Amino acid sequence: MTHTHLDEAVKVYALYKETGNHRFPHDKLRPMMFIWRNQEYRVQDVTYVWRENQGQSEVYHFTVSDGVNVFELCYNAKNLEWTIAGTYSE
Amino acid sequence: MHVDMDAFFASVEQQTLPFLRGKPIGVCGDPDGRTVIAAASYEAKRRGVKTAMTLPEAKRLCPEIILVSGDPAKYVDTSTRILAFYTTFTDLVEVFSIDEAFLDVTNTAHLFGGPETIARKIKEHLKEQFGLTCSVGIAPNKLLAKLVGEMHKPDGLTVVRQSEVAALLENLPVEELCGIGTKTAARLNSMGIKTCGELGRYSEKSLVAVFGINGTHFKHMGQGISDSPVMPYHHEPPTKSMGHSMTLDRDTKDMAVIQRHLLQLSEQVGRRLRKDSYAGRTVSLVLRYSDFSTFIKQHSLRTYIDDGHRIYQAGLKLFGELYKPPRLIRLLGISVSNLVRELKQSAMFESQRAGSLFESVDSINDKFGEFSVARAKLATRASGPRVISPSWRPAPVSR
Repeated sequence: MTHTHLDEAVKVYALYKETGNHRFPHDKLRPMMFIWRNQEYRVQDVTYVWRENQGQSEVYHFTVSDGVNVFELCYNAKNLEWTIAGTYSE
Repeated sequence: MHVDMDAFFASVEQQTLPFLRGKPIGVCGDPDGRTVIAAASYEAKRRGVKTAMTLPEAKRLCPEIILVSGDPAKYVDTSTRILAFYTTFTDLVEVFSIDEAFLDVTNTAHLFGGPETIARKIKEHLKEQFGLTCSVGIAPNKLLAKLVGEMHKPDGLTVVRQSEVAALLENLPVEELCGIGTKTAARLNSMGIKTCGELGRYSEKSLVAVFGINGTHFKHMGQGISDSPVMPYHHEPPTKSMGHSMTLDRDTKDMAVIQRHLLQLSEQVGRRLRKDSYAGRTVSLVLRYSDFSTFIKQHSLRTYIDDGHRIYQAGLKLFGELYKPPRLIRLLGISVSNLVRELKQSAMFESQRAGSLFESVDSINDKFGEFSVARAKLATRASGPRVISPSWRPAPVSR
């Protein structure tokens, strides 16, 4: 398994749903596509979602697959910024 | 009802990274470091890999094992969400560990179609929401629910009714009961008690003569009797101690490295104490040498403290009394016990200035994350410990 740590800004197109548990809004947001290093990636599957507190910021982690690799995208709910935290491949 | 997540950390990682599914994986700290297996997937378990095994041992048994660095935040969040789902069936949910819980559905099961229906709903939800499986035991009490839940793993659902208890326990080895460890089992075996049936029939007087008050308790366990209530996690008794430990990157006798680790652990303990408004006056130090021999020493102070540096000073003094140079140290741990809560700062701190300094540092670290501001000595601190305390409990769940 290869894992590359990253911490780069990324442009993400996500779907926001109004429904869901107010305490656990993990399923309200779903990344659909992202542009990283000038390349477009279409999300085929969101494999896992979890929330982490970083200081006063709530950060939502999404591991997503484009059918080849897995990427970890992070959404900071305080400053509304998306970053890519890493890539994983077999 | 007892619910146990199957190979929890490993299953979460297999869901996160689909190419790990169906493969032997081991979740650990740093895969290149000196950590142990925190959880093994069922594929690895079938090859003999077990929790707490060192990485070389695991690789020897299963050379193709894939080691994955664990992510406590992911497991804590998952567990918190799972526990919140349990509370939709009953308020009586006891957290046994991050991946195990007891639910008392005695008074609410009829609202949901019975205990087995609740168990199936939990299984369906975990599968659909997280892709995870769990094993459930349903029985008249916690002792039996845990026992039968562990009989069919993974993805089991086992029910035992009161009328079936005696037959279940008759030939069951005593060590299968939660609460009877290897030492107690060995002592029972030496008395000719090998099965729960034999334990339940044994003279209570003779058991008390050997085990004291626990003798009565053991006899009841042998009979499948337990009156231990399900303790909701927001009503659990107050914390008795807080501590942290860390396996060093390599065995060392370098005092600078040892002091830095001790300071880091002390600061972490101080931070946790202050966060929950605790202060304590007994400091305990744990020291493990490279041959795994472990020593513990403690000292009670005259005043209550919650200051990482004061904890460090007390720990360093204990270290000086405990350490036998030039032995190599593998692990250090420090904890504070004898806790009191909500002490007024004026009574707690010898220096008001120190108190307000902690407030300022804590508020900065609250805002920007742990160790955003720290003592200069910790500029090169270790990245760990990436572990989940056995005493972990989620914040109270609001619905």
